[in-house]
Amino acid sequence: MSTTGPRLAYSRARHRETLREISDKELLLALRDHADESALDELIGRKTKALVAAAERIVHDREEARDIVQVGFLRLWEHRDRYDERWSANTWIYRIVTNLAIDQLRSRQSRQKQDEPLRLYTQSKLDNRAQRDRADLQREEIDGIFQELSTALTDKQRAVFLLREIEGMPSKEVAAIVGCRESTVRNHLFNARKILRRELQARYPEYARGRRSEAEG
Amino acid sequence: MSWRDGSVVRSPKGDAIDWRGLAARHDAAPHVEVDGLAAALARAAVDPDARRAALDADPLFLFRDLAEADTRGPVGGSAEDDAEVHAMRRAVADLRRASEIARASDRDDAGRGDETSRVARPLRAAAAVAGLAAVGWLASPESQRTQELRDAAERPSSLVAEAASLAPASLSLAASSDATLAPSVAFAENPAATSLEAAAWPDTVDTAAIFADGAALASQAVAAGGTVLAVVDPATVPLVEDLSSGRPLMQVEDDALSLVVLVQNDP
Repeated sequence: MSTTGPRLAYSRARHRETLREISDKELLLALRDHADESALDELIGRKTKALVAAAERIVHDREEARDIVQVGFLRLWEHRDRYDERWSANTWIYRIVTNLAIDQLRSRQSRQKQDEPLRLYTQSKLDNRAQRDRADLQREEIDGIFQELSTALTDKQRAVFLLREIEGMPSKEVAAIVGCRESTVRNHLFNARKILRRELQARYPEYARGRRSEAEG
Repeated sequence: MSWRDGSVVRSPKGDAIDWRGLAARHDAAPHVEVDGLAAALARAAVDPDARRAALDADPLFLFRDLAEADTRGPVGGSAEDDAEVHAMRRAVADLRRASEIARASDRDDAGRGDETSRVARPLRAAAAVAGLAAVGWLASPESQRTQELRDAAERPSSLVAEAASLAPASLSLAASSDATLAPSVAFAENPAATSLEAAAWPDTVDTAAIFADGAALASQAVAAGGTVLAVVDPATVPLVEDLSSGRPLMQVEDDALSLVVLVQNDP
């Protein structure tokens, strides 16, 4: 083999293969320490679906949720030097996106503007039903129920319920993401569950059957 | 198959889940982890009887179905998911570019108030940058370089000369010897390849590789029917951009690199 030939100094495809094998936290460290753009691309590949779904459940609008996640990834890049490795990767990323979603929700000025995306969202779900298989349909139906019932929650209650009960994050991480104490998370969670259960019983009694029969018994 | 007995689900293996007990403990302290709840919910996700019992015990378990799993890498999802990820990458790349320009603009507009939300502002900046680029008003040094690279890619007949013009005058592609190419090193990206064949470069920009002393590789690529998109000197062109999207590919900071070659085979 010649020793004077070209030396492969960098291959993006090979680098990407390497990134696929490393953890989320290692990707954030590659962003922070090396401004590695491929690491950002890899994070986008891993997190987009979950983040868009989470943001959508806060703002009730798919397109708006996509915009929020785009800006979230932009912030992740621009503030990459602030990442503290004592935090889990999910905490860091969800903190950015959740706060953007809450901020976006609060920036809506009129009730009409707030209702419109929900109406469009519901309509789009109905329009898409025929194209979905049964599992997707059930999931979409539950998603629609959550979208509807969660309008009764405050922004913080919705975010806390989403992160703790749906995403399954520990309370400590939820507190870090939402920016409050764990005791506040506990209060938000209690109240959110109480309200959602009440709304579920009122609007979708078929799903609240067990709880109601227990109360009657 | 399992069966339901009140709130307790039993399977033929004899294990049981006390859903009412789990739900009561979770309801009393939803902020703490309840032993066995995660495993029970995992079971409910695949066992219809367990799911029914879970919902009987606490209807709010319904929303556990909404959890989205992370994906590893861009492949493996549905076509719809892949398209969403691809669109997200493009959008984020556009936002980053717009953000850099907006920051420069902010310095000029210091002190002027802005009531736009944190989400709307960068998106508006991105739209403005896209509009300026579309009418040719945006001519940053980086975009000029991108345009040079694109122009080179669109003129394959004069490709080597065009590429060479971007390299230092002291380097001559024609003077390079093909024999200096070491396949085992040059094709580390595709270990099965032994020459610059089309199959060795199945994609376009994703196969971009950066070689030290890339002059020999460039002439090899042309001899094999490939296309050299650009040959650039890191000393004068430190930013290499993705030729299809215009987004930055990498910042060349390694002084040991004498030349950067982006190679693409003919489609």
